[in-house]
Amino acid sequence: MKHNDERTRQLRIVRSKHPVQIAIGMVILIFLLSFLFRLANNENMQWPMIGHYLFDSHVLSGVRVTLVLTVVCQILAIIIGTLIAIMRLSKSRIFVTIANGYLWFFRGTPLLVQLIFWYNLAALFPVLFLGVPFTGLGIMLKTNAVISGFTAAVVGFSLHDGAYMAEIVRAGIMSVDSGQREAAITTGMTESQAMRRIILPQAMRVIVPPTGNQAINLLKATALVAFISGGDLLSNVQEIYAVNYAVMPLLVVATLWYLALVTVATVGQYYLERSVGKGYSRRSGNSSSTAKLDVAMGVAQTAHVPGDI
Amino acid sequence: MTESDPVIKIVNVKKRFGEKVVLNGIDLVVTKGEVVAILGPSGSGKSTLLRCVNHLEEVTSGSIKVCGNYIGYERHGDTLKEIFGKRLARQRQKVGMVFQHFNLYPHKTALENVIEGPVHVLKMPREQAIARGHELLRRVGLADRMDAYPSELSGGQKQRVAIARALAMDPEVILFDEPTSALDPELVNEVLIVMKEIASLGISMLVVTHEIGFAREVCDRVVFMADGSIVEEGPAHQVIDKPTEKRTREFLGMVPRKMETAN
Repeated sequence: MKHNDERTRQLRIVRSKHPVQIAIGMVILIFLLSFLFRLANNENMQWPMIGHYLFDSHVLSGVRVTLVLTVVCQILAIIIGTLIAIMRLSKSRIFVTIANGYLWFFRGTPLLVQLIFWYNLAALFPVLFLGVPFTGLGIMLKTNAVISGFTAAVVGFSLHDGAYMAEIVRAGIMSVDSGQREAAITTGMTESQAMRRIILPQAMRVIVPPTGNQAINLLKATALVAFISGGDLLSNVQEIYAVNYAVMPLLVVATLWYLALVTVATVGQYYLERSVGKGYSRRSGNSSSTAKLDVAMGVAQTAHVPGDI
Repeated sequence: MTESDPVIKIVNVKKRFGEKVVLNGIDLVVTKGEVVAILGPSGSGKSTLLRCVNHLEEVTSGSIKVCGNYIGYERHGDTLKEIFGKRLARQRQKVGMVFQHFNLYPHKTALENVIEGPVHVLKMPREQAIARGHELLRRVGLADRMDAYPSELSGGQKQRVAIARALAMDPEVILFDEPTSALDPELVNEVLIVMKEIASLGISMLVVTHEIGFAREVCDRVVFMADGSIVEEGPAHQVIDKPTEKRTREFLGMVPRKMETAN
């Protein structure tokens, strides 16, 4: 009996091996390896060609345009989205109507159609007039001098992405307890101070993950610029294979670059998420606020429809 | 504000949420340095009245003057015109508030919570605000928790930080909205002790509470509310020990006297 007790006190814990999981993993690994093997030995892939074009100057300039386009449009979309979200949550009927109208239009029409529209703006308005309406004060600009493939892309992506960002920011603001605003304004802050200093910094925790998602989506969506010859990565790669017919190798070149950029963006998102999570350690977090956060993130996620073109 | 002006002057305030009448003609004056408790059953309009005093809720009719200004409005002849933005914010600086659920900023440490208002509203130099923040947190007994985030504090500690945050703005009056109702019973006293100390500093206090013992010992005056009206008011001892109205007697009989003194 005593011997038995001694053994009971020293029982060893062994983790289960999960044979089904291992089997599935093995099968997928085998398929993947055989695919890669065939790819590596495929004459049509023209591997030296890929190596040659990976750092080609025309390809690199495409990478740069894609990157600039993504960064500029994402920043503009965040600004537009924040303004629209605040308008939509305001007490003013006029602001709410404006915000709803914006969302209805820019979320309701295909991105590609919007891009082609902006690119062909000259067909509708040959001359752009910047100034006071009905007075003749202002400057006239030839539309075709203003709208290039690049500017059309900036306008199109920013406005379209701004609509999605508005929903993400709105979900973030709504995830912050209304007591935070009350605490802020009772210490003498104005509504806008409370929004900037107290509410938005807390909303960031909910806003950052879907925004990362949105930015990555935008990075890839910039490939649509190829339709309006915007000089981005895909456009430039297409220009090259239109001449040398090496379609597959050049698409691989583009794919590698897109993957590399997305990987960098993902790492950046991880660090950004960590920095906005200040003060919310899990060890003493209260469950009710976490539940609320999850609901809000659900809203943000559904607000985003991937591959909406 | 002249010396003779009361800190809070509530005149015939009515408040409706849709069809529901929440406040039905409230008149109440709080003078400088006075500590007034508002008692009453839930749904009697106590918290709504408190939230009207700093314009978190708009009154339906009537007026509230805080430190000589119509809070949320500007008087033009016989009309009160709504104000907003900086001017409303400036009126609110004089009125501190402590909430039932603390409402500390979770992304800021205890000290950062306290200095937020002084630095960004009063534009006090940061070093000066920090020195004052240290002093206030020491006074509420949290000298060793200044760099803790709210998620690392107990309920009683959070509420004491919230009180320090309100004090940091140097208010004429602090509104307490059931400051101990969300606390575990053993944490109630530490908050009441701090409130008792503030009462002795000469800052006016308007306290919605269920702590009868605190009201009797610390408050100068007790107001008993039911169904959106003030049923009875008078010196704390008189209202609590010898209530004249039937509703007050019923209410006091119902409420367990779990705390006889704040010590």
